[in-house]
Amino acid sequence: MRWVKSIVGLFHRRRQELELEAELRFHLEAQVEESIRRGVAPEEARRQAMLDLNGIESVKESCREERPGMFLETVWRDIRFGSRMLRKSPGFAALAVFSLAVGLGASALLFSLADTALLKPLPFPSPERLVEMLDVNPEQSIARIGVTTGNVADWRERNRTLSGVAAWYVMGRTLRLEESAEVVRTAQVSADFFSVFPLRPALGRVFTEAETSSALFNSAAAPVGPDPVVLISHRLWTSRFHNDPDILQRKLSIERKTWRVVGVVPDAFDVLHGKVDLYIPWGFGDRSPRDQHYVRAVARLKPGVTLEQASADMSSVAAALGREHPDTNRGWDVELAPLREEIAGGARQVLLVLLCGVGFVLLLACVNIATLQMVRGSARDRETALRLALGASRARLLRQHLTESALLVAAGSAAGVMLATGSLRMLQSWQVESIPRLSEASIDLRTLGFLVAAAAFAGLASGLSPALAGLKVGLQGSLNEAVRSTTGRARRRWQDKLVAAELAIAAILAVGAGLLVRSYSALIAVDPGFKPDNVLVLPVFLDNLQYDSGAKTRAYYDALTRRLSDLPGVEAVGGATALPASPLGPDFERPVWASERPPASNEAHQADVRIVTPGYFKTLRIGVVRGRSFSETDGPQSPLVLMVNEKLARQLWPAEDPIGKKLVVDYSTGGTYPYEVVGVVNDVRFRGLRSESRPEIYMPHAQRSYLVMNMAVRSAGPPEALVNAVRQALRDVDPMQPAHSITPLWDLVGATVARDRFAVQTLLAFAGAALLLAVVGVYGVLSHSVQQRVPEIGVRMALGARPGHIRWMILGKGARLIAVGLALGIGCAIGLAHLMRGLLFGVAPDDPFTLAGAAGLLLLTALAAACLPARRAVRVDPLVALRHE
Amino acid sequence: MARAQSDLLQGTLDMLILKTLAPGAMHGYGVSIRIRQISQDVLRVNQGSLYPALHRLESKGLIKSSWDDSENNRRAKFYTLTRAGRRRLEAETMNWNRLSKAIGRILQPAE
Repeated sequence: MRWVKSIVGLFHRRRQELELEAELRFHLEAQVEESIRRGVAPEEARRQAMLDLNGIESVKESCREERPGMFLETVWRDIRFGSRMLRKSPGFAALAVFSLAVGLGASALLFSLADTALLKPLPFPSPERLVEMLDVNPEQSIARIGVTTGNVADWRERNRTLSGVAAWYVMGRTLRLEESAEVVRTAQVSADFFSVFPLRPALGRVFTEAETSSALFNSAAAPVGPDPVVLISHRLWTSRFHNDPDILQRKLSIERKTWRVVGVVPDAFDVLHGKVDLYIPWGFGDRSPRDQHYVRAVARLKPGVTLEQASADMSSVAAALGREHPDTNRGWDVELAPLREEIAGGARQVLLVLLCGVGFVLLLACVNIATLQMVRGSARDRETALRLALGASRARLLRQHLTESALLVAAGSAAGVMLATGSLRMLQSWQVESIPRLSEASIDLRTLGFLVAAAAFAGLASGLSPALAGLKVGLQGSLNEAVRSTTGRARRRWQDKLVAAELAIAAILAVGAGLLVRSYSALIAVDPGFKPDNVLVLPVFLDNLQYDSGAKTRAYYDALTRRLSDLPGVEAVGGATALPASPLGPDFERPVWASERPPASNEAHQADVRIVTPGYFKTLRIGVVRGRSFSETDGPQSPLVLMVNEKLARQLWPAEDPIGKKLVVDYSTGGTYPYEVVGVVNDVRFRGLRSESRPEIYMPHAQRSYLVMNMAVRSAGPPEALVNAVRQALRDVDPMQPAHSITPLWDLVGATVARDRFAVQTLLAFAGAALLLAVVGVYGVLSHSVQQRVPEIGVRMALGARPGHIRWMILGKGARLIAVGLALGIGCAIGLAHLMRGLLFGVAPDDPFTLAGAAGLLLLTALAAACLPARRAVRVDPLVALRHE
Repeated sequence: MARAQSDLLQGTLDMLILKTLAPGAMHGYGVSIRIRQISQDVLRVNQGSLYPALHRLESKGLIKSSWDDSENNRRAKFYTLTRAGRRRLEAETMNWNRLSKAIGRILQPAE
């Protein structure tokens, strides 16, 4: 029932106050009367009674604290008082709330991103038991590549620790709806796929065992099994079929063949391989190759089995396969890794570094508020001293100070949540692909919990030290002005330390951002071996029903090349099975050797195979360094020719001219063929600017036709202007064969460094915010120092100090603070920078230019911030200053 | 007056106040006088602790207050024990007796 009284009590405060006053007055008067009766002089009696009461206000305050509901009431009073104090200095309040909002909002956003990418369980049942399987071959130092269909079939049967092994391969297939056609990312999935990822279809069912085992494909990945069936994604069901409940009665035309829709599956699979909209079953058949590593596989551990046990089990299976199939499997092992970590991949370090960075920003925001509170605090010393003298307890005053901080933090958190939600939505709408599982991220309860913890930390960090410093001054000090200016010294030392800490944190962030900027500029300055500007890329996936012969395929690409070349503004047109930085198209490697030196088994060089049209090198501006490029004369009937890149030429013929040499390419199931080397081209960084170039061979499309080609169009002007004309050209050649996409090559290259760009942009923003806050701190503390030293400066000037001297006095103090802060910050930065070594490209973590640059930038800005107060100091009028004293 | 004599444990002060109020209503000043008289000047209650203690006991519901005329015809706040207060006083008294007897036995010189 106490709480009822507490609340009722809140409404009777005025009456209670009057009664308290009356009660104590009665006591005093009764005591005085008593003393007078005993013969004490009235004056003396009154004095003694007051003495006995030990300060009437302090008794009152103690009584108030015994009142029910007092706690609630003081909190309320503190809040009202606090907001009144903050309203009195709106500039400070706005700055504090803004910096807290930025600090807390950015922290919450990054926490949410990192939590989703690194910690959140995958959206499948028992996700911790999912492991990715990767082929490794320590003998040939091949690390973690895709697996082979032949091996997956044996792994399924022979392992004893896995409840299923799912394999899949994603490619574009042309979906035809009424009169339109589009290329849709399609996953062909093996038997265990839906038991490894058991998700309930929104409609219908998943594939049956029989459907999967009869779903066979020919070498061109065209289905040859009977009665093809397909599952569609929920997204496609919504966007293309408007959630048609009768979708299961429909048939789809995919690659000009008719497929039966058997179900609609959730979009959760996106987490595995980006957006996939069609799923088709895949029975491997009997003659699956064991040497074509292009399939992704994920297994599910049996309950109770550890990753180590499963790895050991699979290694023994792989070793047995190596003995049984020495030609293809000798030396190959299989590595198991938790799927969640594989999906997080390289984003892990970026997110952790940015999380550290945002932590520093938040810390800096807190320190900055603490500094400004201190500066304000000294203006409030008189208030503190007065309240202590009137009987307020220390705990009470501490609570008052902390309530003010809590108000700031609460406002900052509210704004921070809005900021985080808004920026998360923005990131999601940009579909920043370098952040894994971005679409799953949300400002959820975990993030809010983190935010509350961070806000509590911020409240204490920004509120405690000014409050304690204020009390110390209050206790020592008095209402006397002269005493106050000496007791403020302890506080000034505190302020100096805080400002130095601000500069140190800003220096750490500036060094981090500087390193990323240097790294990023080194990265984009890398010569990829081709010119990505003014090129449009359009991947085309021909279907093999219509284009069932090499001649038809060649005719299509010849026609398309001619149409595209005729477009106004087009300089060159070429195509390749796989194009640098384009994620689509067959990208595989084969063993090759010089025909005069056949290798011992398993020791052949591996080279990436690209099938190209004659215009390819000209379109991408890849240089032919020796011999000649392909021409129209390299036709199906003429001698087989190929080109190699410099890297492969150096490996095979280090001291000889490769032109005219014969090179043998091992096509495994397709046999081995010798080709004449007619040209050498420069190396390209095929998988993006960070990647190293690899040995490559190029073959003319006319001699080895492929259905899939990435066509490239080089234009004189901006390539975007051509998009519509290119789309029309495709339609003219075959209306049922759209391109998968039409993208500037520059964007594709940019996507390979998107993660670096995200990191550098974010950390730069953090460093900028840090610099701003630190400058505000330096300025605030120095101008306060000048204000406090006005009398001193006046005396100095009266005694003959020159303005230059005064200026240097203030600047010198600033310089000392800056020097200490920078030394500390650069020292810490050198230690911390090693943590981001993995993110850096072409720059060492202790790069002296970056360190010097960051230090120089901070030094200049901080000194600039110190100049204003110094100027104000010089303008002090000694007469006014002394009179003030 | 030596300070030690006026320093009372909080619980003890509460008990003394309850005991003092047991015969009937009394105002704060009266309570302080009565404690001093009965203890023959050994215990002197500091007003700085008396009034907070009265307010504490009141908010706990052990005593209640009302305004009335005092002996010299002035309005004063009188406190009386509530039923809960009376019960508490009995319990505290028993406790105290047990405790003081136990301590007395320990402090008595061995015979």
